[in-house]
Amino acid sequence: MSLNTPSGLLASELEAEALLDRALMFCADRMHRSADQVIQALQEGEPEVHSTFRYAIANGLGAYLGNLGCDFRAFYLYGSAMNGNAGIASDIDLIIVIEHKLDQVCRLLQRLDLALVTSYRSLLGLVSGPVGLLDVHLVDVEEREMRHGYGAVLCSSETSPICLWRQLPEVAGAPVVQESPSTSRFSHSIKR
Amino acid sequence: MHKLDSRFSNGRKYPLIWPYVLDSVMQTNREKDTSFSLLYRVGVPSSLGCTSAKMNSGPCRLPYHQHEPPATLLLGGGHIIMALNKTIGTVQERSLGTQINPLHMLLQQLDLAREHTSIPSGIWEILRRPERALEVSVPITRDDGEIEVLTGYRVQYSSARGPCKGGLRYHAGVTLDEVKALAGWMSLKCAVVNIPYGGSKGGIACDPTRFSQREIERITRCYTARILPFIGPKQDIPAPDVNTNALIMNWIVDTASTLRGEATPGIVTGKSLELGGALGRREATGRGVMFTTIGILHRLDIDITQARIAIQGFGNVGSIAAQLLADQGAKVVGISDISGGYYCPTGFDINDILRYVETSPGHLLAGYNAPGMEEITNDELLTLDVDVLIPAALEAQITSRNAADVKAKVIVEAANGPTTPEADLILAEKGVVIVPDILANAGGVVCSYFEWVQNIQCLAWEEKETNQRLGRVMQRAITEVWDLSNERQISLRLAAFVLGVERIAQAISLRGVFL
Repeated sequence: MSLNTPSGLLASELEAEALLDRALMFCADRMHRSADQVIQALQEGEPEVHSTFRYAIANGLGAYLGNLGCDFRAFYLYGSAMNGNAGIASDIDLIIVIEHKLDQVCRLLQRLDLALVTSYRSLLGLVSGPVGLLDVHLVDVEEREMRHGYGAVLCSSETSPICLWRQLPEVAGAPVVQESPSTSRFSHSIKR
Repeated sequence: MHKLDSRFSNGRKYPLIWPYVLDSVMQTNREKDTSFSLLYRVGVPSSLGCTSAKMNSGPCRLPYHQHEPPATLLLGGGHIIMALNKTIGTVQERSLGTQINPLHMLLQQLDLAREHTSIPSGIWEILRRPERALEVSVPITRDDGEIEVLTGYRVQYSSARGPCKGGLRYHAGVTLDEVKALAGWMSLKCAVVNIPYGGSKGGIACDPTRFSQREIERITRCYTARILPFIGPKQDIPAPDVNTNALIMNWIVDTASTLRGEATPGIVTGKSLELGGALGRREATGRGVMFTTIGILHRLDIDITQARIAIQGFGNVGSIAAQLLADQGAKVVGISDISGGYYCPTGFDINDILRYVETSPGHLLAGYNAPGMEEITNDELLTLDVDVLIPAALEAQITSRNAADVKAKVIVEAANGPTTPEADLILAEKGVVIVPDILANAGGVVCSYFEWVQNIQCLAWEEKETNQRLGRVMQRAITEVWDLSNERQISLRLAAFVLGVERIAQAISLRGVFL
């Protein structure tokens, strides 16, 4: 039976638990630990595990958004998750390059964030915790080219965001391409 | 079979956790790794008197990393996750689990709307909190003599613009935060169509299918008595919602009138005509959809007599909207209900269909036949090449799975929440105009307002007067939302929210803060 949920209260379709499961698996694989050990390390706040976990979440999120077939152009990660010093309450700093900023994008990202942070708190057994897991900044194509706002961050040598996903411009509309985690700069910081 | 499967063998129960795992159903392997999911049913044996039969079934997913009795279970449909390895608590506490909190969603939506307004922070803080949230226990004597205690809620989110108005739902998944969110949403809805109401909502956490009609009556009367000090024509006016109807409203009127010693028909809306219900109330939501559709088509320079329309759902709202739009000259080429869909490129004779479903089994479309008509699926109906698509059935019908295939130029959300956020984005990029539910299906609450006006004036309008007034209110609302959308370059959905938020904030600001 329908719960008769108004549009303003409707959740996103993202299977947040599945995405976190995959992130957990990624951590376990990379760090040669069991999933339970990874969860324990997350609960204890190990920066390296939290950073890897957040990187994997960001990667999955990029693939999810890219597969929606919308005007997303690229998906960048920066900040603590990339620097390897994320903690239990750290958010995931993202820059999303998009053709045009739409309020529908903001609404979707809010819903994704809510789904992720709810599952994150559940996974770690946090009674209280971060109210959001994503810190997303939208940059349209013009801002990226003009290096305005967070478009400038993309070119900053100090911040150096890594590109997790991008749409190849010459084949717009073709299947999206995702960078392999092993080819990113981030992979070097992961202890194997 | 995976070795873990035996740990969830049929009939295996965990006596210290709740709900019990009743049996395992299947095991699936995931791609590219050795992880797996177990699908199994959970529930509470009826001997324990579970207050939520809704939870008695549904596939659940066991995250692969859990090698103990699961910490969380995701019920089918993704609505409820329950913690299982914690101490035993109430169904409500279980239900909260990691379910995405609808109140948080409302606050997110308000925050998004705020970015397009200049509301002072103090006013904003008032707006983000419900004025009053009431929780009551509802003890009833079952037909077999046993006593059962349910939990009921009534939340008045905002009375800044007038008495609070909102439905009453009976559902196992009702929680206080859900009722708060729905009350806030009602405040916005009333403000969007500019009727002098605040917003409220009520609910009782129960599965009404477990109770006889006599028991439902006792539940309703007890709940009414418990919340009576806080409801009334000048305070808060309930109405039918999920699993409640005119009969339940009649019981509320009777209970309130008896306890107060005076006739109080205006304490609810949506009651029977004989008790002061409004003529035209049944058709009001569908009529509002018609006014909205015509208004939007006019603004998009699409002639209504040339418009091809598909309607998903042929219940009270869908069938009335179809009939009224056909009366206006539109060609309704697609219709559907749970029995299936039908497509007729030359347009259906809606009156003929209405005559058919009056006597068909279950009042369904199944078995209807007309020249040039072909059967289609509900999914195919959503992707028909039409000018207007009117989802008038269930929530989350247009998703990321089918949004890219939608060919309609306009979607009028007659149902609540038919479009997921992912689909919303995909449709926006395709240039599809979406008339949000908060505006499109507001005809019902507008007519409720008329019913209330008639009750407090001891008048009974002709149906024609109700319909004319409904048209004026809806057309004005469409104009205001459309203009705001153009002015601020935002979607109609966000424009409706912004309009509602600004009106409530303005009312709070004008009234000032008491003491």
